[in-house]
Amino acid sequence: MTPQPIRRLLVANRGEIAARILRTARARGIVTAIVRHPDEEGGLAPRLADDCLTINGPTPVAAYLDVAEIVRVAREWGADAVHPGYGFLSENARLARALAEAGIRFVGPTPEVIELMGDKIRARNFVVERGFPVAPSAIEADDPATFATRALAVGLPILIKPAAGGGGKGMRIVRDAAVLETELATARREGERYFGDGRLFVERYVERPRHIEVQVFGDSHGNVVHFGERECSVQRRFQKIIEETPSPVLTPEKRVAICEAAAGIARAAGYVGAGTVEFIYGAGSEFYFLEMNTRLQVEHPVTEMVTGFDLVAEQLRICEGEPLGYQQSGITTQGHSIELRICAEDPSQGFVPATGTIHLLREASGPGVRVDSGVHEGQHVGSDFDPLLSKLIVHGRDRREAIARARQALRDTALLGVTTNTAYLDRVLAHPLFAAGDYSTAFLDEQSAVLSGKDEVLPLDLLLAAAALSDRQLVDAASSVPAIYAAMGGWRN
Amino acid sequence: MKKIVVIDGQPHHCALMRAPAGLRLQSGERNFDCSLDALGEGRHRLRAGDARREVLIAQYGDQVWVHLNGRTHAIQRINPLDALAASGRGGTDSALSPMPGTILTVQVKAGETVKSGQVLLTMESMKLEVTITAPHDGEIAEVLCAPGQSVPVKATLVRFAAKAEATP
Repeated sequence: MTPQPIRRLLVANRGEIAARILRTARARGIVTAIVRHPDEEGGLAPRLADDCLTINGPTPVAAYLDVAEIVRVAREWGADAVHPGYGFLSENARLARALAEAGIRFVGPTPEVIELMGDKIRARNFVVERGFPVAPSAIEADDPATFATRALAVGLPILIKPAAGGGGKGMRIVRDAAVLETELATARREGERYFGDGRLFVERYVERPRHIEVQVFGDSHGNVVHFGERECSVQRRFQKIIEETPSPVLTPEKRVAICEAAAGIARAAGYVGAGTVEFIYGAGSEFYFLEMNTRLQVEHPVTEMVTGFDLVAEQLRICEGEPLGYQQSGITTQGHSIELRICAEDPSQGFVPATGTIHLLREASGPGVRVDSGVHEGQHVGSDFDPLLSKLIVHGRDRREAIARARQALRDTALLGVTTNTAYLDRVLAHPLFAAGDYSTAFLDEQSAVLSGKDEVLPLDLLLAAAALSDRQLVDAASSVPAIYAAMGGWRN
Repeated sequence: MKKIVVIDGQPHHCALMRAPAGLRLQSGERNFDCSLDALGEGRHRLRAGDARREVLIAQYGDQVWVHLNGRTHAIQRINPLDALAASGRGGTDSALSPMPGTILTVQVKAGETVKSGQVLLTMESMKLEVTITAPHDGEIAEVLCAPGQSVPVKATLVRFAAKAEATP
């Protein structure tokens, strides 16, 4: 098969990931387009794309989830490939199929593999049958009438998950049998709402687990490699906010075991493109397959920082039909990398999403500092989309240097006008357990008192002065009543 | 002239007055000389008493954001006259949205009597489903939202009828 270069690429996404994909596409000389809904304002990606295509829908999110609409604009613009980014339609086999029918390539794996891994129950069975480890579980569809009983038989605590889920949506932990029925009902509603599929399964919930994932890549010539692991245990509401590589917990032997298991799963699935195999890692060093994400991950940059590869460029090359062109031994890592997700949210109010206008924006820079941003000064941040604004990624020779650089970069980041989690992220990095690498997915909840920042001393005089002196009315009022002070003397130089 | 400056939830009455070497800030027991020089693009040189820092400042109306020592502080300035006017509007109360999001279901109608803790409506923001319940027993005066509607933070979603004793 002769490689077919991509000449016109449509990025069917928005925000920081669209901007990041556009940068690589441009560097490869590809003509690019981006989509956007008429209600959207601003954004960095439309400034980087050659063309900006309007997608319609009752809400902006609905438009990004509309397969027919994406295919329509891709066809009208003359795209020869569509990159879906992450989220939205990135793991939607219907999009991959509809594009193929229109003669347009989908930057991702085959629809069959997307379907296999998108169905958490089928994926789990596939992995078990090939001898890879999974956690004890119960599946509703096996016998809906006895599901609740079988769920309890797995052994509390259990984690309820939507069969069609991903990204933490609709997941609930149950520690008490009395609330099982109500939690199942809520999870089912959420599954129906987010995925149009209310089927559930439950899994033994590993207490204080770590979440470790492995980046894999396959080409259309049967080659599969891995790019090492990412440690993603720092999570709030099942969503990652800090990721790093290498994982501080893995021994060299465990690293090989988990990475080879991931590559083995990808190889068994005939995987093509970028994928991520997620594992739960227990306190006893046991690990279980969690799910496979058949797309680029939010946290892919940490892998790029330590391997030197541009993973989006690799995706595009593989989509063009090129072979990987390197063996596993050709992928080596150097140093340590950390990613911080800067979100429009208020950690002091349970991480509720924040809205507002970015009146002033200063991004961090310096040795080993990378910013993947989706926003610009003057942009309005609404509640239509995910609160992720930008990602701060740092690289250091070792973990200690990476943490120090990350902390300085956070302090150098100013995004005035919208509440963000930057100070919270800095407190996480400053926590002794984070510094020791001794944390689990329960870390943020367990340390919430320390991380609340209530002990921080406010520089009150400086803040009062800044607030008062920047107030035109207050300054004018002071200037307009000089008489009493003039009478007190001391005016003359 | 005085303004209330709200920093980290705490109100401070603030006034500026002319001093021999510029301006002097008074707030309760605090009393110190201060100055602020704009350096362009939001950068400022700030002095408060003996402390000197370079800071970033942005403002929009009476909201001010100050980036100082690597931390961003959101500060609200309130004209005391406006605050008085707002507190005079009491007598009814309401259920507010705790976050920006979308209304999923509305389970009460105007004129309906509800018990404390009764579910008024559910809303969704990003990945959370949130239940808004009645803060106390009472009668619903007005429902100000509908399923599917997007609401900002602190929007009034349901208004309660004025309690008999609160009616002038």
